[in-house]
Amino acid sequence: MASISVPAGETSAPQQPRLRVSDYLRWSVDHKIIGVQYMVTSLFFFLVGGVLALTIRTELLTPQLDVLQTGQQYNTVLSMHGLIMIFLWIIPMMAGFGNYLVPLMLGAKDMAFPWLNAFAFWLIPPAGLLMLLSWFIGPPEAGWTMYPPLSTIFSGDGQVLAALGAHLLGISSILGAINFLVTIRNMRPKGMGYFQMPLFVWAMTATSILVVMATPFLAGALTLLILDKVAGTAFFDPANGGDVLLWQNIFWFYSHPAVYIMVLPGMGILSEVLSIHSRKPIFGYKMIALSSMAIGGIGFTVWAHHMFTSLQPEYRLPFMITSMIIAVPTGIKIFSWLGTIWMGKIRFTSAMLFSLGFLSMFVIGGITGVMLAVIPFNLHVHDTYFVVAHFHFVLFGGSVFAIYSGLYHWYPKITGRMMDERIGRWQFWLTYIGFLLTFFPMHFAGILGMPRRVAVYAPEFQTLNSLSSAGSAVLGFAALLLIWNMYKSLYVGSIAGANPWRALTLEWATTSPPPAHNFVGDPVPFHDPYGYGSEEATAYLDEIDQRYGKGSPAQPGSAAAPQPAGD
Amino acid sequence: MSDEHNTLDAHDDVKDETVLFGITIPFPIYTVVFGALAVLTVIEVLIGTAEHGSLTIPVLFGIAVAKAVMVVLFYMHLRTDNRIFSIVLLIPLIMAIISIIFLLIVPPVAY
Amino acid sequence: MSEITVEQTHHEAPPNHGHASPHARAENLKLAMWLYLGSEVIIFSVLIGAYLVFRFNYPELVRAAQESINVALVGLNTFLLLGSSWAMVMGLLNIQRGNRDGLVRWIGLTALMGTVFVALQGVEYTELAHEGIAVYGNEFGMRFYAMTAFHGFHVIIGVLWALFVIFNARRGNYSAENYAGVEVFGLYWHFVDVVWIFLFTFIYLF
Repeated sequence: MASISVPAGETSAPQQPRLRVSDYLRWSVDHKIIGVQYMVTSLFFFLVGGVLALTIRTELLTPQLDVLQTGQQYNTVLSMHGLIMIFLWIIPMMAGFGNYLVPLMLGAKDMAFPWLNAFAFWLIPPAGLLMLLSWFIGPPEAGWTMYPPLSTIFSGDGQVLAALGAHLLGISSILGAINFLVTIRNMRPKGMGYFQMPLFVWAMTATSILVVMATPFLAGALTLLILDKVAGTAFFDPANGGDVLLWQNIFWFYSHPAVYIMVLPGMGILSEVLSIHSRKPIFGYKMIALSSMAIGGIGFTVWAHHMFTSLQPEYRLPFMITSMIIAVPTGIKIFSWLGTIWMGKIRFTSAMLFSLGFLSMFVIGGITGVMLAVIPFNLHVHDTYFVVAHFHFVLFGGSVFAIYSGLYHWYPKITGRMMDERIGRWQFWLTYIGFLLTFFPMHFAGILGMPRRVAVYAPEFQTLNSLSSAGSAVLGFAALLLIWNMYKSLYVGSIAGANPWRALTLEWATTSPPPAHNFVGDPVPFHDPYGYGSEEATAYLDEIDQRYGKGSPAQPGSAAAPQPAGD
Repeated sequence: MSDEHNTLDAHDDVKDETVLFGITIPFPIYTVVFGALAVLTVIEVLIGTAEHGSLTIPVLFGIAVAKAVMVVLFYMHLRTDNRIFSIVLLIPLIMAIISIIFLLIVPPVAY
Repeated sequence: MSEITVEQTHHEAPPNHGHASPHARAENLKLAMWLYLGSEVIIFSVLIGAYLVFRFNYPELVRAAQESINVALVGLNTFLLLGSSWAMVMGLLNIQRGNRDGLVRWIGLTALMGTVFVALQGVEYTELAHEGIAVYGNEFGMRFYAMTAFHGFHVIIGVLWALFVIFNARRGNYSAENYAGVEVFGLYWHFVDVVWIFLFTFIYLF
């Protein structure tokens, strides 16, 4: 067939760009550098949030206060943990993946607005600093949800700094999302319609739409909160003519869609990894793409299921129904992924393992989500550890597993070197087991009635809590393994070559790491980004290998990734 | 004013006179819209400062929407521009309206 | 390969590589500005929603506060902002016809009217403060000031942007082919105007 498309351009491979640390410490408008800046910054905050999480688990090892002196300190630790993990780890990390990958996957030279892109990133370090500083001036104690009156009356001035930090991060993600949407709409290459885009790009589209429409709700609510704290207004103070439910409504207008902001890019990562590592076309491409949009749309209609205990009974029912409906597009994705790996030539690389981990954990989190949407059950377990277990299953078992998977998958592209697969497998199994051990017992603790956000609990819950704490130590160790693996592989990892996974999406049709303007000449996308298993695909992939060179075999001492068993 | 302008965009063809209901007015459409906005504002102030009846608020709201629509269609060129811009405006607008209506329905005192 | 050509008919604008052509650049800028305005719609809806809930639940408090409001002054302000929008769009018309001096004059008028708007808002705030409508301890006041000050902040940003556009225009950066900078500023300015149309109706006339 004459239509085998090959990456066009010059015949010789371009000069391999050198990675220097100093390039990443200063202002740059290159989306690849900005992407790495996002990722490294958020990994730093991941460690900070992780230390806080381990503090929480150590404190909960025994029913009494021991590590921390007061319940207020405990409140602070859990508030900071939530704020940092959500606003400074998962959301910026996903933005990092988006920044690095979206222009590459679209065959573009950069984002539509490179300067704006850099600006959006450089809002994050000061925002993170504000959040960390809030610890020292009367820390926030109201959790990441910042409900008044906890935040307005019972928290210190640090709550204002934390709110300002969240404000800046909101601006950053809105600017980033606008940039993504313009890039995706206007900068696709010739021959790539919307339905030839990689699914990660689709996921970023849905996420960006959510960010543009949901984050301003948070911005508005935070503005009013800051005014209440600073200017003496009383928007959320019923004693002075305010309305305490206003916060809950507006906050969840934002924060329920924000849940999907955090998980949709992860689902995009999964769609890439599962298809590539099982050498099969993705099952139900359009369904996965459109279910992202459906999740985005329905995600706006479910917010009040967070408020079943504070809302009038007659307003609860519609939200129970919508909350259950949103399981349908999620289920479509899950079944499509299962269809993708079904009968595939699965290679259990670390990236693949973490994606499979996502699948299993997210299903559990999804099921508990449907359980929580049932009003009577919700009233029973409201604000118990069941809720904690649920959202850690979707946020850690979902988003973070996807991030781990994405790191293993795209690390070769970003650095030009492979990560150590043996450490990767160790990390996966430790994470998987540690995760189950940490969060699964929380379901039982919750059903038995252990409330969340308490430092002192009834002695009968100690067994379950000890299990959780033991698991958290394993989880923490596994996270350090990842950092160690990334650091070590930077120096001793085997050379990756342009396309170590033999993937068809455009980011692999250039050197690893890509040159300054990503491609030499205009890349020609393969007509189907998931068309594995055809002779055309093999020819296309061989052409890439020939043009940009294959990786070197693994050096002794570092385990290599399983090689593709065919296309 | 030179008449050697190119016609790259659809809204380049703004004329120096406007035909409205068959009558030719010697101003560009933008000026006519401004006139309409001014007249509507005067009407609005007259209604709003008079004693409020049961219809006052719907009528005032209707006039405000009419004014906003005129600005968006003519001054912001949504009438002739790419439809994607209208979609980008309308979807958040619907969200905003739904959320405001919900806030209005829910009683202000917590359950 | 036939399915690719089918998909391509869905394109509304031809995809482009990089930002070589000014037309593509203008399209990108306008889409970005509209997306930004979409998010502004939401943030204003929070403030407006907070006010409307109060307005419909405590109509007598709002009536009492409206007694002390000077509608004539605010009406004048409304005319200024509507007029500035008109001046803005006339400026755009001028540069689309290649008339750079016309652009500078009309945008100058826009900036002037915006400045007077902010100044008169200051006068209004002073009058209200004398009437005892303060930011704190006043149920109407806090909502009123939060909304109008947030809008006023947008006007101030707009005036600064207008001055920047004038600066650019005087340096000859705009022409009959290249006026995206003016157009994007216009979108922002008209949006601020639209928000005021609603604020004016909701606060002063409802």
